[in-house]
Parts: sequence; C-alpha cells; structure tokens
Amino acid sequence: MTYRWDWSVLVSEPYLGWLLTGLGWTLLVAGAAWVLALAVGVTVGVLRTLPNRAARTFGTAYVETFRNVPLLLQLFVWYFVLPELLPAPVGNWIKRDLPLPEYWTAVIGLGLFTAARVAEQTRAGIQAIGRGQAMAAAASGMTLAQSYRYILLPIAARNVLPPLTSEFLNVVKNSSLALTIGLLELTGQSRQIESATFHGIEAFTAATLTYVVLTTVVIVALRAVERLVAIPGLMARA
Amino acid sequence: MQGRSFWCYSIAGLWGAIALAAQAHAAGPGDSPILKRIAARNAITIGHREASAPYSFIDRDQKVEGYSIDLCMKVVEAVKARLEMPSLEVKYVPINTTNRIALVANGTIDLECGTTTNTLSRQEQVEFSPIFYITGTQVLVKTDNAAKEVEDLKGKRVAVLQGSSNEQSLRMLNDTEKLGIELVYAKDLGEGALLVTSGRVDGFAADGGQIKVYAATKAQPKGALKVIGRLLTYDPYSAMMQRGDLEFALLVKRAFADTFRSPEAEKLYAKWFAPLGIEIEPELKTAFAIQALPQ
Amino acid sequence: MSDVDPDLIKAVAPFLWNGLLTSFGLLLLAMAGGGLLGTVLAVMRIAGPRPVAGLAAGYVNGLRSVPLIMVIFWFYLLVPLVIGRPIGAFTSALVAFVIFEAAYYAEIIRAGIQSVPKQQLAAALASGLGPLQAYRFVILPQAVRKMLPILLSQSIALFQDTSLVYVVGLHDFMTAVSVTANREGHLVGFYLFAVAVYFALCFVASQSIQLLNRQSVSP
Repeated sequence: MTYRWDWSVLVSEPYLGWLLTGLGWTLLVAGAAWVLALAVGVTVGVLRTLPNRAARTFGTAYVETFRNVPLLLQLFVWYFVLPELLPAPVGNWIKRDLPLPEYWTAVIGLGLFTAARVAEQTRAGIQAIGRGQAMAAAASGMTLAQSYRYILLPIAARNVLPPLTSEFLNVVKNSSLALTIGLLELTGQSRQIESATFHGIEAFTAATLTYVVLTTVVIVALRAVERLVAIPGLMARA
Repeated sequence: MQGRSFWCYSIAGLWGAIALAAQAHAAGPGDSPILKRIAARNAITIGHREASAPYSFIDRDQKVEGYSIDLCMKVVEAVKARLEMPSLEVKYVPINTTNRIALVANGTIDLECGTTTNTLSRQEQVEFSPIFYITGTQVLVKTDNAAKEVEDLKGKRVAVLQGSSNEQSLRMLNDTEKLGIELVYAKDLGEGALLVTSGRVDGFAADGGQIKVYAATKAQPKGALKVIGRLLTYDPYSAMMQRGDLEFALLVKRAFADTFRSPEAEKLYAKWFAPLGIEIEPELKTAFAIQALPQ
Repeated sequence: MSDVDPDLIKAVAPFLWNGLLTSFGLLLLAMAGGGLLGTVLAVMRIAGPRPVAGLAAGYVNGLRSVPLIMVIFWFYLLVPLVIGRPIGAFTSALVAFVIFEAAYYAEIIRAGIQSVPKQQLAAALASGLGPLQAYRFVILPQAVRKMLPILLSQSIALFQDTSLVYVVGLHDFMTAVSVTANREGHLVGFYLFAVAVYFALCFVASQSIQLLNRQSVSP
C-alpha cells in the first residue's frame, strides 16, 4: 500500500476553516430544510387521513410527486429547470439577484423532498391508532379538528418519533447532496481538501466523525423526548 | 599462439555476453510489483474517465476510447512484450476525481489514463508518466461577452469545478488582485457550461483544452460559446501509476518516449483534435521532442 | 432547453438499460439482505438480554450516523487496504447497502413492534408460545403490516440511493444518464428523461404495493 498519511492536514489552516465552514452550511441547510419538511409534511400527512376526498387527493399527489424522484434529480430541476420555466423577469431574478441562490434551492429541494416522507410517516402514525379511537372521539361529541388535536395527533406523534428521528438524520445526511448544486457543505469541503492535499482518507474521516457526532446528538435528544412523552401501556415490551 | 587465442576468444566471448545482456532489456516482471501483479491477474487494469471527450471517455457503443487511452495502449503493448503475454487482457475501470488517486494507490488500477494534471504535491501519492498534453486555466463565456481576460470579469460570477486546480488558482488570483469575483461551484464540465448558457454565471474557468473542445462540439447553437484569456495556470496531463515502482515507471517512460520520437504522437493528436478544428500547439510539439529521450 | 432526437435515444438505450438493471439488482438484493438483518436487529433490541440489545442499538445508531456515500466510499477503498486485494464494485456496493439499510429497516420494524398493543404479546405468551414464537407468529406480522407504508417508503428511497454508487464507478441508471448527458451535451433533456423514468417506476411500484396493502388492512 502506497498511501501516505498526514493527519496534521486536518488541524492546519486553511483546511480546518474549510471544514468548519462546511459544517456551518450543513447545519443551516439541514435546520431550515427540516423546519420546512415538518411544516409541510405534517400538514400533507393529516390531509391524507381526512374524510374530505379533495384533501386526500391533493395529499396523495404531493407525496407521489416528491417521493418517486431521487433527490439528486429534484435539486437539478429546481436549480436549472425551474428558472427557465418561469416568466423571464422572475427567472432572471432567481438566477442573478437572489442572494445565496444555491442555499435557498437546497433548502427548498431538500425540504419538500423530505416533507413527502414525513407526510407518509404522519399518515402511518395516525392510521396505526386504528379507527376505533377516531370513532370514539366522534361518538363523545368531538369535532374532527378536536379529535385530531386531542386524541389522534398526540398518539400519532409518539408512534412516529422513531421513524421521524430517522428522517431528521436523513435530512442531515442528504444535505450533502447540496454540493451537486454548488453549496459546499461538510462533504463538499472534505472533497475540496482531498483535491487540494490529496489526503482524501484523512479528509473523509474528519467529515465522517463530524456526521457521527451530529447524528448522535440528534438521536440522543430525540430518544430522551421519546422516553419523556411515552404513554404507558401502548408499547409492546417483552 | 594457442594461449593467446584462448584468452582472445574468451575475452571476446565475455564482451559479447556483456553486450548482449546490456542490449536485451530484461524480460518478465523482474522485481516490479506492478508487473508481477499484472502477470498474476493476467490482465492490465486501465483507469479511464467516462465523459471527458476526446481524451478519455465511453462512446456510444460503450467502448472506452480517446487520446489518453490511445497513448496508454502503447504502454499496454510494451507490457505485453515485456511479460511475453501477447493475449494479456485489458480491463477498464471508470474513475472520477474523487477516487482516482486512491484507486491507483491501492492497486485496483495499474495505469490511469485520463485528464489528470501532473503536480508536485500529487507526486507524494502517485507516480506520473511523461507529459502528453499541455493546457492551462482559461474562461468559457458567451460569444457576445466583451470580456477578453479574466480581469474583465471583475465583480461578476464565475463557475469553477469543485476541487479543481483551476478553482485554487482563480481563488488566489481573486484574493491577490481583489477582483471581487463570486465563485460558483459546478459538479462537472457539462453543468459548468450549462451555468454559462443559462445565464447563471458570466464565465466558467476550467482547463482550456477541455472547454475549447466543449465550445467546438456541444455549444448550441454552434458558435454560441468562446474561450477567452491567457493561460492562468500550467496544467500538464500525465498518466498516473502506483508510486515506488521504478521498473514499471521506466517501462512507461520508454513507451511514451518511443511514441514521442516517432510521428505517432502527432498523428494521435490529429486523430482526436483535428476534427474539432484544434491544431497542435507548438509547446506540445516541443514537449514531445524534449521527452523523446534517447535509448 | 434542447430537444433529444429519437435516433440518439435508440443509440444510447442499451447503455441506459444496463444501468437500470444494475440499479434493480442492487435494490432487490439490498432489500432482502437488509430486511432480514434489520428484523433480527429490531427483535434483538426489544426482546434480547441487555448486552445483545446494547449491541444492536450500537450498530443501528452507528450506521444511521453516517451518510451512505461515506459507507460506500470506505468499503471500496479501505477494505482492499485491509485485506490486501481489491474487491469488486458490485460486491462492495451491495454489502455497503445491506449493512446500511439494515439499520433503517431495524428502526422501522422496532416502531412497528412497539405500536402493537402490549396485550398481544401477553396473550401470545399466555397461550404457551415461547418468546421467539410469539414474535414470529403474532407480533412481527402485525408490526410489518402496520409499517408497510413506511417500509415501502424506505425501499423506494433505497432505489433512489443506488444513484450514489457513482463513487465506486458502478454504472447504475443515474450514472449512465449522467455520462450520456455529458457526452451528448443535452444535460437538461436527459436529466428530465431520468426524472420521468424514476417517477414512472417508483409510482407504479408504490401503487402496486398500496393495492396489496389495502387487501390486508387490519382494523
């Protein structure tokens, strides 16, 4: 094996600065995209469980559109194709005058893509409760909105915490695809270091360890939330 | 006299044997780890680019070809002769900028034939063949852009390939001359050009040779793009191989030197670049001549 | 944006078709391997003794912490370093996918198991089934049925993740499209074509499985 190692590359300037910049972008993209994904995703998921047919169809159309195309391609379409389809002044503004165009494109692309998956998990969480609860709520005089607010959503939220944790982690890791539209987040910066110094394995190790720390923080935090809000008797344990 | 002729003959014979040994290059793998590996696998593994026409790419029939590939085939012939294995298989492994160094360093690939720039810091990780192509950083712009040099793009947006040598040099130039250029990072050559044609950026700084080829072959409509500017960097292309194997490196040097010495090298260049209207530069001709070391 | 002429499509079709087959092959094998390993991990985590559960938890948490692109990269480049010879791109990508996806399937199945009411397990044990049998015949079928939409979602994500194998130079559909697009210079046209293909395949797949799901819904 003729790979030469040099770990000092990671703590010397400017490479350490690059890594930190990349980490910053990762956090900003993942954070904003997750907020968007939750807002849109929970809404669409609830829409899909409503008795109203139009709401369900809209929800289904949204989920199918955004779930069936790889994120890589969705980002490409948002970045290159959308501005061409809009009227010229709007398109040009997006292309030239919008500040941080790559950042906003990444947030919207990643957020809407993840929202489709969050919608599915919300729907599964609500449906896993079983129709009995919804019927009982209606029978005891609650309106639809009240039954969602006081019965269905609280239980669904607890059902859905493990898969939602997975989804948040996905957002953090999928943020790495932002490099394909020119936003140099953590993975992108580690590749920059690799090109500049040719110590790719060291650079990628640094990025990997940072992802592990980031995701461990998320997992630990959400597991604590899970335990905090657990409703006794609802979970099967041997 | 009998004694003297015995000595004469034996000394002549000794000289003859030495001369013969000196003439005949060693056969077989010798103590070259790469050659031993090739012999053991009964195949030589070539690393190639997938879409870097006309240097190294996969054509419509899914064959690997290009200028760099043709030059590497000369090395393959030399390996076949050296190992006396005329039916040596040639395997192709696609590489990209992320994995090319690592795949050469760990032995997956015996010879990388693409568009890799020969730099001194890379020579800490890999060994390079003689230089077979010379280019530098230039800028691709729309034909109606009045800019003549990269300094005319002050304050504008310019795209670069992520992690490329062009990016590093443009960044340095931007810092030292305070050009205020905003750098936009493209994933590959096609996207960089798309950024120019869609108007997202004013220019795309990349290897002059490659963007000239793009402007000549893929600009729609023809002539919509042009390449401007002096060479901002010196980017010579070489083939990569594993570091530390002097025997194999010498074999590669010999194969290239033989090709440069004959008219083959210029013929191969014309084969791939003449249809695109690109003539061979005098610097490259000189480079061929200089590297055609005598045996 | 440029149009793509039909002769061009005919010429590049075999290359793209091979890429698609590679994507499918990876997907099916990774689903099978990952699903099996994931189920084992989920049961280990919920029903196993403490060290076993801890091990499973460590595995799941560790693998879920790392981007898939990194796992594939590590496998392809470091394993030859360690074992002294290169391994095939398809093999390394497949093993990386199985190991990676198992962690995700494990979490989904764990959520499914936990949403089955405790009484089911108690009843199963009370009727004389051993704990492993209880899981196999009572809990897991219910858990899987409940989580089918999410398992499906994860599998579709896996199919789309196969596009990441470009880092090991394996020609899946996405890479084949990208190579063709760059060679022919019709980036937008080819990428939109890829969007259409992925959408059609994944949509049909998800609709078929929803049909199946509807036929086996539990009240």
